[in-house]
Amino acid sequence: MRVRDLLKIIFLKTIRNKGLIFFYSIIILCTILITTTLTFYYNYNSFISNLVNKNIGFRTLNVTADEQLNDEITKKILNIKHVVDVYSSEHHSITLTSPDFKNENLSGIVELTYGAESMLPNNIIGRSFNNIEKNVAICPIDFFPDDSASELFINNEFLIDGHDLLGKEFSVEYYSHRFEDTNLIQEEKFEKKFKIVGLYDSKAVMNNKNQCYIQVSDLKEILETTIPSNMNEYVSSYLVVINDIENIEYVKEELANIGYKDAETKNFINLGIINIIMITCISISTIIIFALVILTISYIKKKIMNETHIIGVMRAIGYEKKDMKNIYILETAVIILFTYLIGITIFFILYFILKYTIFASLIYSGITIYINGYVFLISFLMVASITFVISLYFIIKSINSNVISLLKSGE
Amino acid sequence: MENLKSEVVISLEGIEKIYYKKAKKIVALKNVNLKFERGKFYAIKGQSGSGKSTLINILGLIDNFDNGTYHLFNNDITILSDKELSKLRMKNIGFIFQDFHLNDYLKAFENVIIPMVINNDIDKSKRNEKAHELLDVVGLSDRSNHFPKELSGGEQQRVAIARSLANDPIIILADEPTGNLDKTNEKIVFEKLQELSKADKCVIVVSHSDEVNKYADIILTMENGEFIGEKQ
Repeated sequence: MRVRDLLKIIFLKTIRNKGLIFFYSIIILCTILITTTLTFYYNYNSFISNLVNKNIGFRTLNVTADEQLNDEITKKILNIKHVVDVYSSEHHSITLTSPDFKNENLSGIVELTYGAESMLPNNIIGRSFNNIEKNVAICPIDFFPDDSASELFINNEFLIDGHDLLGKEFSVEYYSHRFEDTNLIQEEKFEKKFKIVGLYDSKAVMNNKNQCYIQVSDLKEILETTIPSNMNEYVSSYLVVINDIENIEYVKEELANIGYKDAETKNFINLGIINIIMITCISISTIIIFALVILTISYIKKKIMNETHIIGVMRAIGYEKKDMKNIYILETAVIILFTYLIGITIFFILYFILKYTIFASLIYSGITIYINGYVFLISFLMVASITFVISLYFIIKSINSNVISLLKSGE
Repeated sequence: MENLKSEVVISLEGIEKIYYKKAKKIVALKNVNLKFERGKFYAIKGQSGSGKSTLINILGLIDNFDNGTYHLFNNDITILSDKELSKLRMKNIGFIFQDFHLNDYLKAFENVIIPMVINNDIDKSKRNEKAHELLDVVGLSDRSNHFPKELSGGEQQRVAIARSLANDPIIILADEPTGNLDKTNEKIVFEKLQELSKADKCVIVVSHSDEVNKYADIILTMENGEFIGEKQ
């Protein structure tokens, strides 16, 4: 039998068989669902991995201590291999309002962060601080001074292009406080101006989009003003910055050796949520595959049953088993491949639509949605191979039957 | 496959077919000795269960037998492989079934082309022309582009007759070809089959209908797997 004739028969049968639409739809739907689930799985994993590897909070240990950080303790901790900085946790950051950025769309909230040399990101546009200068800041290139700056989905229309701010000043407002019984009473208002001397990519370090680095001395000045003068009892803790996430355990052990036993990373991932998401992805995939298997078995059985008399007639008029197997195997392969490609095309269309609409603002949180090549391989193996193997089993079983029983099945 | 011009195309000697149903032995065919010649219209008649369908399946090489010898154009078919039997069927035997068994997704002329697809002796470029010629022979030239569902039962059976002639076989086997047809269409179908026998084909028809008696050259009657009568 010529390949061209074989393809022509398959083409005519496939195009004209309206009953195939249901089967096409199942494969297309399963392809889209599996590919989407796997893409989400890979992107989520990638996001977590980026967050952990890029954000300094995951390589910063919070160490509870009985006494305030002093030069001696600082020196002792800095002597530990891989430790690049140590500072009091009170001096980590403060969140204040800047009237310069406050408008109807933005609340003007800015997070001013400890900007020691060891903490600053690489590739700063403009310049970094020099040791003696005051009232300078390094802010994000995509600056979003709002209380929703830590959220993944923001209205990126209101993002401020940092390049427009370079060299300009902004002010922040803060208040001094005092305790009256257990109540914190706001007292005098203060204002401090900062000149933006540098810009950094907050995505590269997975920072909040309103996080500006300032000189330690400036931060201390603000903190000393805002912390109530009559607050004399508080637990002291230090933040120990490590050069690489790989060295956390080593530093923890070394800290324990010098008496700081309860060091924990400042930022941590909630494994419970991750596990729920992973289990959900795996469950969805399993359900889809299970549904696909059931529907494929049911459809193929029905299809083969409807066509057994045709197989019988063709065998009777001289088609060999080999010819029949070629026709049906190729037909099934063509249908699966064709529908899989349609499914993938729809997935691509949905992917690009979502990426550039609903998920467009994720890029500003350092999340780049991408398609992993393995997604296609896995989804193809899952959808196409399962469907093909099931189809093959029923086709071969049917074709190998006796011609008379095939003919009788149609009566 | 030599000696295609022989008068006797099929020769059966001592054919026996035994079934076992729930360990019970059923003899479907008992010592069948027959010869079928070209240019003749054979009608095989008998009650249900008399073995006529079993016989036609054996004649059509789609069923086997337990004892005896079967020669098709002087070839002993018992020594042939499944592939060789398929080839023999393709070139020499045309089938007509009670339920027509047309492919619903193919048009009338495409159904007629299907047997030609595996016959390398027919030029690919002439398949369409031949299919239309055959549909013209059965009076359906104006229905060639219709799907089976768009045709009446009689028309579908005539398409099936055209299909059975696609590879120009010498033997035409028809199992209850008019079982699903009305009287008018029954007459048309038997007339066509008679025309084929007159065109030097060996036409063997299994039928309950007495109408076939008017057209058949030889009527063979079966009972309990045996031939009990032959009328010329």
